[in-house]
Amino acid sequence: MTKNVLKLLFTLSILCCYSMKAQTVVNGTVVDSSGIPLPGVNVTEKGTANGASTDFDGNYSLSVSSSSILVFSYVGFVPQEITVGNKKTINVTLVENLEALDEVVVTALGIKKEKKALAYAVQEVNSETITAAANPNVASSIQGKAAGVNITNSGGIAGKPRIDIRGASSLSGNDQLLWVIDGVPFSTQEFSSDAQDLFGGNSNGGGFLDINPDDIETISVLKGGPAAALYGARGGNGVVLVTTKSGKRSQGLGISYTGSTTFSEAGFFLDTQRDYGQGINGVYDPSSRVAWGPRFDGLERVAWTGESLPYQSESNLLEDFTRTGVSTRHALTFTKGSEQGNFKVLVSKDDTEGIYEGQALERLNFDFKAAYDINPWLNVDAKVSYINTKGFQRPTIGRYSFVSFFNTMPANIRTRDLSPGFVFEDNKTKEILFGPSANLTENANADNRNPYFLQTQTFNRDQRNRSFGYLATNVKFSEALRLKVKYGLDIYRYEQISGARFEDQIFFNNTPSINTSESFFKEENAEFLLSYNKDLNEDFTFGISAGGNQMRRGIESLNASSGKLDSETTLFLNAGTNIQANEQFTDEEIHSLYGFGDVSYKNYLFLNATIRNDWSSTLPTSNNSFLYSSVGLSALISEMVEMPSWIDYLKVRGTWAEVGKASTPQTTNPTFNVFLSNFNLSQSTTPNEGVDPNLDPEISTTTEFGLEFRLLENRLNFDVAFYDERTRNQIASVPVNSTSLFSSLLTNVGEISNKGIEVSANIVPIKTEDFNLGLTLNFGTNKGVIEELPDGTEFFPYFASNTIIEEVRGYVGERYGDIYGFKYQRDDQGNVIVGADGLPVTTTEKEKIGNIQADFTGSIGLNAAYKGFSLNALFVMQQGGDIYSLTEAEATSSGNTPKTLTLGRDPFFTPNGILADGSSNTTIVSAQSYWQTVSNISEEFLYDASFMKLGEVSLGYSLPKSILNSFGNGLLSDVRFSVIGRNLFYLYRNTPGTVPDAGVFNSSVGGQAFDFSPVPVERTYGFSLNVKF
Amino acid sequence: MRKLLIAIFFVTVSCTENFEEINTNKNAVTAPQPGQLFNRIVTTPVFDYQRNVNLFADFYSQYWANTVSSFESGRYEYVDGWAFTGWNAFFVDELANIKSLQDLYGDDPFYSNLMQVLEIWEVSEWARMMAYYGDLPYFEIDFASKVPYNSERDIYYDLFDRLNNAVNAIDSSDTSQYIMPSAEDLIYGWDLEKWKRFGNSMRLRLAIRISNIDPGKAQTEAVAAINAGVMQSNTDVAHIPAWVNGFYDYLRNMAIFWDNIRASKTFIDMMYSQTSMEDPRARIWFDYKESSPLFGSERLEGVANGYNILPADANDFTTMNENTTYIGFTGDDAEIDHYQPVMLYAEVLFLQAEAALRGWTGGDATSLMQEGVRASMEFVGVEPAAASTYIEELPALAGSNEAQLKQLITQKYISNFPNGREAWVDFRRTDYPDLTLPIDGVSSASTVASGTYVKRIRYPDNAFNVEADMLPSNQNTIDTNRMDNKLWWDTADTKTKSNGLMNSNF
Repeated sequence: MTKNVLKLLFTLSILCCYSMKAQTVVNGTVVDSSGIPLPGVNVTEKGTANGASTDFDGNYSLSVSSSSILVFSYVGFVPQEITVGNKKTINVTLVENLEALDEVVVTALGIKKEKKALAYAVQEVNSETITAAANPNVASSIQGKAAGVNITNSGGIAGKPRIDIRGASSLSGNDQLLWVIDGVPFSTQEFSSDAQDLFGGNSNGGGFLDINPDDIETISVLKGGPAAALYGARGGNGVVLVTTKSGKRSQGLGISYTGSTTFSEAGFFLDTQRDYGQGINGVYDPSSRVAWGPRFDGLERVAWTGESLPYQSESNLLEDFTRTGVSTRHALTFTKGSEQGNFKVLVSKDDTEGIYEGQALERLNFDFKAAYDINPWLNVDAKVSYINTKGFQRPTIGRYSFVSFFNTMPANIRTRDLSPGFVFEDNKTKEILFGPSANLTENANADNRNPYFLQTQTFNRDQRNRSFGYLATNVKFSEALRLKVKYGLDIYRYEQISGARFEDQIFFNNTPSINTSESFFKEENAEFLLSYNKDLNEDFTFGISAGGNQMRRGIESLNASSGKLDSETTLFLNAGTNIQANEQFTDEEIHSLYGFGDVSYKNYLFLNATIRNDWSSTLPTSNNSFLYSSVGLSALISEMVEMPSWIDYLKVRGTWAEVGKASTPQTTNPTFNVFLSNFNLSQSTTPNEGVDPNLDPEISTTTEFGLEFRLLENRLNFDVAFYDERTRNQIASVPVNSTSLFSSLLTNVGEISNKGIEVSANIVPIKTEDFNLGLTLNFGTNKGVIEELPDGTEFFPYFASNTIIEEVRGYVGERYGDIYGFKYQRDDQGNVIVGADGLPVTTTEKEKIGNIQADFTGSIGLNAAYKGFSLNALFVMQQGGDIYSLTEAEATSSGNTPKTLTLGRDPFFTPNGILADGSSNTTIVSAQSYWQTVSNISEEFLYDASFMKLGEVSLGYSLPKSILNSFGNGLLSDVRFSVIGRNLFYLYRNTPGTVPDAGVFNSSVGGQAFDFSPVPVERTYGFSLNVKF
Repeated sequence: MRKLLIAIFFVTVSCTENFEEINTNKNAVTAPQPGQLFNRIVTTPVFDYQRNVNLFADFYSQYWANTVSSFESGRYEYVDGWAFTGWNAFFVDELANIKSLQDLYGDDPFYSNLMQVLEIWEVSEWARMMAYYGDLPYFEIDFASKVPYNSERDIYYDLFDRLNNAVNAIDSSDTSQYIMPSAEDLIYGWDLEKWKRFGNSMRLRLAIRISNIDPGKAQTEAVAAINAGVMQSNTDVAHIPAWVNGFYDYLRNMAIFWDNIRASKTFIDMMYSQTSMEDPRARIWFDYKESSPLFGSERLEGVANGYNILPADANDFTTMNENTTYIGFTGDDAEIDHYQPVMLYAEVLFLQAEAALRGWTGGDATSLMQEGVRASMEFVGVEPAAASTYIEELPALAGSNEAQLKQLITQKYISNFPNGREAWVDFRRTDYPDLTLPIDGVSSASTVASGTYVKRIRYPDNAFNVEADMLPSNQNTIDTNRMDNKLWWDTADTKTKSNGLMNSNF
């Protein structure tokens, strides 16, 4: 009924615009060569705007004049033209365009290009693949879906992922990718800083979390310089182009609903021993904080609470502490399109609970996008989004995390005794914990806390309110000459409130307290692009474009802290006794002009070139303009020469590109800070970083070759890329001699190279009418080397901290990311040198114990479809690379790891121990002193980071047409139900219970070397429902 | 169409001229007020007091002794993480701020007096640094890398000229010049006459410092300095207040709360060895902690310097008197927690006494010495009557020049407490008073030969970073950068002492 009304309206609208002719209604079905109906085929009356598209069963109906010609076109198929004449029914079989499979991909500046013409690798990830497992975090949802793109997580649901494309190219750590949504840069900035050392911090996901996965049509990953050259300075580390859904002409109502509910539970914990409990050197002691007591015997002993309890292993404390988080999502989309335009409105709501009490993430997305042809030469295209993202109780990672406190707690401690973790005494809420004092409220110290108390004591919440959108006008001066002018805006306010509710025994000087910060972010991009495309003759076509962009970004931040609050009941800033505030303004502009040209010959040889000049505000004014270019060639060998019949397609490509990169804002114009100090006098200091007056932009140069081929009727599709990227003139702050009156100098140093191979493959072993089986493979290997450092600099410190022994370094001429730490001191025979005390002696200097770089990373995707059923599974893997488990080292020191049982708990001789002078070791040591010594020997806790896991799996079922049609007169066009799972299990891994791909404690390069008490990785399962009207 | 393109081009590319402004932090300034830099400059020497003064000069002068087992600087080991803080603070913080102030205001005659005061302070600071390290990069020092080191002699000669010129150029009567708000001058509250007397006193100190190596220059400068007018009373004392809310390592923390140090046995014994009575300053400076079993004992006892393994009861010994009335130690009970002395009035009297002893001036060395002790006692807060009783019993200077000098420097040593930096300079220059080698021997991990006294502080590792070729050629390797290398003005080895006397000082 509704369908008919719409059809009527549609017809009427056409009638209004066009004069009446002799009309006839033509019906028909469009199928592919194997007879499967093709939905969404464009059927147009040639030379007019009159048209329709096929429905889900390939049917169409169109009112045309008998003299007209119908054009049937569909992406990937050869278009067909049929004269109507007196036919009432025109059934068409479209033939797949095997010649080229003219796959169209989104490239830099949002320009769609035929993939065959590209001289570089672009990998597209489509909406089904992204949303298959209902992952609310877009960044982590592309893990394993593009070759050479590696993603590691920390901090749980709302944590910040590290996304690494083709290795780390920057010494300054300035290696963020550029995210672009519908052609407008989208800020992924994070305003709270990462954990930097032992004491950890919060991991805050930043702007990725604002992106709604349900709204994504495709993601194009531009992996390196060649693809990103047109994005210039900001795209140097790679670009993620997100294209959101647009309105389409469709038969149905154009309403779709997507919903899902998933359950997450903490899935992967450090292995701990369950045989020995609280005590020191084998003797039970209820005040001990460590598990070096006697073996569990179940006999009653006086526990720390004073009760007499059986001495036995209680349940897993950390597991008890966590909960099953529930995540629900609802997205409702309205789309519609006509010949003149289209629109989309989407509203969605995501609510995700974390595995800790109170931990949650909420997101509301509203998105309106529309395009309209105002007249034949002017099109307007606009988008408005509003996003509200809230985070609650983001957990701490590192030494002061719940995980760390529990991992070091003896197994006989009972959850029910720890909880709720506090008592109310003397008008104060006091933390209780086992420990040396008989007064349980005096036992907490910085390294030993009661997590139940901390959960109540600390609070944090944050919120981002963002508006994002653009207005673009496309002017068609002629078929050949077009102009696009676009203004994009990304604007948001981010606020964060954190603090402590009670007076803390440890930080009593400044608790209770509240800290509040807010940042106002604004980025504007104004740009134009003038394009001229012309077919010169039968063989040659060419296109040339020129454009410019002006980017202005401003960030205003204001932070305030209360100091100690008056009392537990006044949790607001104004009640602070030492209120401190500071503000910061950071502005940046980049102005750019660019041009690009394409020439194609006989549609099998494509030459393209780009050139861009940036003027950046972040460089010294004398050097702030920089020009760079790229050139590429793509050749369809399979079109140029005769190929055996089993080769359907063969393309070779090669490209060379340069990309410049500027400094970070406000680093090149040193200023004097002003603050209150000595005797409350205003004080000022000379900046202690010098700036090289000739600071040049960083330049990365990439050479890339690629090969694409399709065999056996497109059953086997391969894309192979070889790249060599060199980033020179690295802008970094290097330490200098104090006698230069500076501590550091911001200058150009060093060069890093990253070389690698990426392979992606699509294999279709079985394809029948009812059953399809496909395999998707993505593999990448990268070797990153520091080629050059300043004279006299032995290595570059990727990670070095006063509080963590292990370091991450990069030596000239070697793969960066060496993990340095202490080893056992050994003699030539490999015996362990022990000291006079019989304990192992560590090496005097830190030595190399491993390297973070993997040999290769990859994924295997499996998709099978049988009638309405479909099964998708994604296996993600890494081979090689090392990770140091600080998590395990700390728990070992506490006697909690299975390792501490391997030599028994009775005193023993250090295995293979020998004195430095070669004489035999006669000193026996206790298990406790041995393992506490060993806990400082880094090599003992180094693990191979190889793994393979089932990253995602989904099993879906679509209701058949026959059932759909029986409901509401065909109101429903598609109903699909899926069962989904994420991170269900690891097929293999070497780490001790923890996982190697989420152990990192911050998103820096050096952070990748550590597994340090992150939020336990979640195992997620659930279901989703998609309904289309 | 063409116009449109031209317009677009200009909109895109133009306006790069405001880039400099965009790229400048708006919550900071390019030209701070003079006082904002000055009040930081004069407090920089207090930064990290423990790591760069107490753990080295205060131990080497044997005012204090170490009571933490793992601290090995007392046995002459060098710890880069400690000493470097002082080196770095001097160059990157203090000198950088001095240069900035000079660059910003140096050309404007309105700030002439400010520049002269800054000059006097800068000289004082170079002299402080040279007394630790010796040769330093001086003449070409600027915001620049690869600055060559200069010889101590050349630097001292230049410092004398700078002091002379600066003192002469101060015009305290010119009220049309810039006047710093007195609160921002933490040393003298912008009393320019006091700055002049400090400048002349500094010139006298440096003259005496080079008396053995370059007696002619020393005499000329000393006489000129005294004639120009040195400190006149305890109100002229130059010392740096450490703010209670700062992040300084206060002497009080180390001596009381942290139990890091105790009074040196060498120094405490001198409280009893000079006369038949206990030095009346002793109980103002020192006491046992109330928790010590020795609390209330008749005599104070210190801890010997240079233990490898400390006696278990080390922290029972004498430490700072927690309830002292001497604000030089524990501040004024309000905003000031501690003072680091730059130059005491007593020191200036002892410098004049030495000039008289050397025959450079007509003064009476004994009476100048007695005035010095009296000034010290007055400053510390000894009752005048008690001071007189003690001073009357002090023997007059007698015997050979060396014997008189030893007596004089021993009294100077006591009166200079707690200025460990200057006491260590006097010991290295004159080898008086009688100090001791580390009780458990010089550490084999040090760069001091066994049985030898420490003579300087090593150049920090940072100085070897890339620019090792700038260092003095005889000290530019890890091996030659030793802590028993004598500084320019240190002419003799303490080991040559015979019957308690040197033969190198006259």
